[in-house]
Amino acid sequence: MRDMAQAEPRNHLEPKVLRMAPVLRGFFWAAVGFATGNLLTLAVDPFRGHPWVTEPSAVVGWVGALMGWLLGVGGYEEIILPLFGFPSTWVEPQDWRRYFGLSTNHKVIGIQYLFSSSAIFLIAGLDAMAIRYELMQPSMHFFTYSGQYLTAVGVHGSLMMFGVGTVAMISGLGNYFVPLMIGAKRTVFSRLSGLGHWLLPAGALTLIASPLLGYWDTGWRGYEPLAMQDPGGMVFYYLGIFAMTLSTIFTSLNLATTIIFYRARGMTWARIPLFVWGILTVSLLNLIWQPEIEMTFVMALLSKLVPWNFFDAIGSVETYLSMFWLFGHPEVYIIVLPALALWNEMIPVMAQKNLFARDWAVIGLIFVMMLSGLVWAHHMFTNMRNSEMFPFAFFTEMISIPTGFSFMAAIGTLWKAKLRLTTPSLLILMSLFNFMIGGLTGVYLADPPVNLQVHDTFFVVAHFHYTIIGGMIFTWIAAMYYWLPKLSGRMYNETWGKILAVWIFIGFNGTFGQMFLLGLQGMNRWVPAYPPYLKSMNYEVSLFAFFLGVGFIGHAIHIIWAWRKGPLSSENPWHARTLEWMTSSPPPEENFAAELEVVRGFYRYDHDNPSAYFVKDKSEST
Amino acid sequence: MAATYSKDRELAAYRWGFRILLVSQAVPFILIFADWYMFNGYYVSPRANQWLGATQALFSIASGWVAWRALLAIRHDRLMDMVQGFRRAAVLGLVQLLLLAYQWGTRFIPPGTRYGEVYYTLTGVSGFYEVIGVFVLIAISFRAVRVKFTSDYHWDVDAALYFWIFQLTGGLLAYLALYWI
Amino acid sequence: MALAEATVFAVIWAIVTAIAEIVFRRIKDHSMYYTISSQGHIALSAFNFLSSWLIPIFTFMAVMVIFALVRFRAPDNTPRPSPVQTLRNKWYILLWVGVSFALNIMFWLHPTAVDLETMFANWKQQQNQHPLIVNVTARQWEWIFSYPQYGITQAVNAQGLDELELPVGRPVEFFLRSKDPFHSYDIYADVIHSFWIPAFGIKEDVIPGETRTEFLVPDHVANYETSPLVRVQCAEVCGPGHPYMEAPLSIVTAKQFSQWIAHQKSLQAQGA
Repeated sequence: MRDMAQAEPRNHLEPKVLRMAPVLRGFFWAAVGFATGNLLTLAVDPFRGHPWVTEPSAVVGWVGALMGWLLGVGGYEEIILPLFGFPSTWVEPQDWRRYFGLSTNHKVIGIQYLFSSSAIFLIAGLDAMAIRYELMQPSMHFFTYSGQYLTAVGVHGSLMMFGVGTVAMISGLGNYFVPLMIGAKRTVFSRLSGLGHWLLPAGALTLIASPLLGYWDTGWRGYEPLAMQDPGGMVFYYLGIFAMTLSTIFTSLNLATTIIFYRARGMTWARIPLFVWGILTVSLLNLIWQPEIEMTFVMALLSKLVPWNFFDAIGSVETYLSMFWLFGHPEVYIIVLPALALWNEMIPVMAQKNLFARDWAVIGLIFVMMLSGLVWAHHMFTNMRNSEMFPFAFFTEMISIPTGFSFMAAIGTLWKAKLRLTTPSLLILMSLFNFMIGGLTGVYLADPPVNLQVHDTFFVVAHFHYTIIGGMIFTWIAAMYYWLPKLSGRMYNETWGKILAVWIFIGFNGTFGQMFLLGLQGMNRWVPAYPPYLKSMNYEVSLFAFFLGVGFIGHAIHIIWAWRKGPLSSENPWHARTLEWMTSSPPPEENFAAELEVVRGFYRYDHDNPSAYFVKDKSEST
Repeated sequence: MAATYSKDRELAAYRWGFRILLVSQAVPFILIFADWYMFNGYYVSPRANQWLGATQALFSIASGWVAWRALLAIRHDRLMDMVQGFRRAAVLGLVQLLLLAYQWGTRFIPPGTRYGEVYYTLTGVSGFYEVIGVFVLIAISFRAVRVKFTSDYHWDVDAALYFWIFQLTGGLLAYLALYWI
Repeated sequence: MALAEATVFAVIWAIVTAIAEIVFRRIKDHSMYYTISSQGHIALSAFNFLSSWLIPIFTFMAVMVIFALVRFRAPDNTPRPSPVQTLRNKWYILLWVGVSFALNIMFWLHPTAVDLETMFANWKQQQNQHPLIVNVTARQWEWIFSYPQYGITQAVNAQGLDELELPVGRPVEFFLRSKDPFHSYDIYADVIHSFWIPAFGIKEDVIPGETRTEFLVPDHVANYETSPLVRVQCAEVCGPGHPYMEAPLSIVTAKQFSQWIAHQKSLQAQGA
């Protein structure tokens, strides 16, 4: 029975024939929106001698453009009309075109997110290649102005953090797989979630367009008061990140609510899969910290436009730093928690062995979530009072304990297993290795005296790339291979998968392993020109970086090939026990043939009984 | 029985999901208040117009009261009372916004001062939420005409009221911070 | 028999760890490359202490990954349940949790707590030894060094570029400020810089509107030729000029230092 039908007339009485593809219409309406907002500002403030686009008018114009874009991709028919009680005239096409417009199907949304964040990964990755090319020589030879280089660094960092790190696993894999894994037919706020995806390309394009308003120098952290005196590109940095974080908030709200309320029967808290736990914990983090950074950025934007003195010498410089890292450190756990969860999701399947100490693995995720808000100031050891370092050093040390629980469960499961050495297993083992290095170098950074030396050097750059690429990106690729049979019904090529896995492992460790040494040798961050004695190692790092970049592209090509042309795979090639494998691949519109009832946990391989049954009598549960 | 279970579940999901959103949206307010405490030497400017501020607060409380009555009306199946109540609440909210626009326009409070910074930020943020709130109230009042809400089903009304009360609370806290403390 | 696997692993782990520790002992003095200040020695010893304790953890993980690849792999990819099925092992969990707590608390007490205490104690002590005071002013994009005890407002070299010179073995107190003495009317001109001398093993952010202090004792005669780590470098991004915001540093003997001071005074007299 569709109870909502009474309240939400969604019978498509007059299906609208769109003259224009939604994305094109979105661009068109966005242009109209920008022009309107921009002209409105000029009309209110008609100063002669001002250029046509000023910082305030760009902000108002951008808001108009965002509105136009969201309405254009389908928000008008699918959200505004129903809000006023009209029947929605939005018809989702049933072919490839459904991926290019607003969708309410969580699987479509998941693939949209995966595609968008892969595209952002490619752009930000090419940006990184440009950065590495510049650093092959100790003086400027590729970029013509150091502001250009610094903008490249800032765009790379912001896109990677807000367009890939927080998105690929949470909004991409999370949207696709969380409802499947808990046996839900759909998500709670599916229209909001569908709209949310379209904020991501808008935000990414804003950031990519930021150099049009002038090169900004601050890197991804937007440190005040430098941001206040930077050119207008800074404005698009705030706005772009605003859109991307909003997208993440929508996803998190939707997935958290779906996990809490739309679980299948018998899916008790004790049985929830690990990945779902990971998404639930990061969703809560997102719901607290993403609004926090948005408000901080609004204040920074205002103090730039008006201008105000919130964060300069008259106000409080450290307030911005604190507010930024108060979000910034949870952010890295937002990125890495789903990866920690996925290790223990995949290892038991690949080993066909009971997950060791499941409860500890879950407790680890929860405690990392809770502690992550208490460590921020270790990013500020160089600018805080010495007496304040001590407690933050404590919490920073302590957070490694719950993080270690994920390792403990993974090793306990691996121990004496018969692990099938597939590409996902190999990438997971590599990820364990890389993240261990990332974690251990974090211990150095937690110690204030050492931190005061290596802070703001390439040591730190290496450290966080080890946690984020080594931890999250490796696991993301592993998960793509693992779930490829589910996403497409097809299998990848095992040989190529392994070759490419080893390829990126070598490229990654060659690049970032040497960056630790560079940092210790005195290479500081944000410099397109550096003392010549650092050249040889930088040259080498760059070569490895290009190698790594080719490896990532290789993986992308391989996955796309397998998705379209790979050999057909069986229904459940890994013999996994979680619910997403209890339906066809790719799953049908309503996910499952019937209601599911979960009868036991998913990580036991010492018996042969299925973990869930289809409820025979449909009337009982619908 | 089973149908009720499914329906209740869906409603509970909307209800709690919306509450989670509101808690999450309280973070910006918390942040401003936290920041404001970090600034030394905050004061209530003598140039702040106490009468205008108090009038605004009164309008806020009145519109909250009217919106609340509208919810009670739909609980007793008085659909048109609910629609009118929401529209009246929206008008009261709009008047409040106009008073704010008047204060902003005349620049009673110089934007360059410490008090001015806090004043424009707080009123700006709560004003932004109020604009959204007014939009939602009006939208739901139109929706109510086409989609018949009943005493059994009026989640949309609940949600609009949640949001309206949320933004009123934010606005009233801002009032306290700006005129009293 | 039950522990055979564990024994093999432990033996390999012990051997690899021993080799790694021996290699590390050889490079220990240079693990942070070049350190010539009291502060830097604290950092260096903390770095080495942490390294020698983290090496076993790292080798544990590295050996474990390889061990799993070799010993725990299935002969082929057909799914069949592992012969061994464990759900938990309380001794392993107890050991893991216990060791990770113990290690973290130890790291927090030593080196963190001990070193912070030493740093502050040194600072208090040095404050009483009438240290050399150097006022460091950071502007976009220049380091300006002045020596108020000697009446030198801006120390420059023969080319007129800023330079920092310190006598060896004498405590130095840096006063760090971010302001632009040539644009004092512009409140938006000052940004965060970071005062970093790589060879001294310490950096401190220079915050607009605040004055930060830094104590240390340089203990070797050195300059950029000795090691390129002997330089003043801005470590916090401060605008397009950031990569070029550096200054030469030389640590000289007391005698050379007084000659240099005399030279600076004569330069200043000429300039005035």
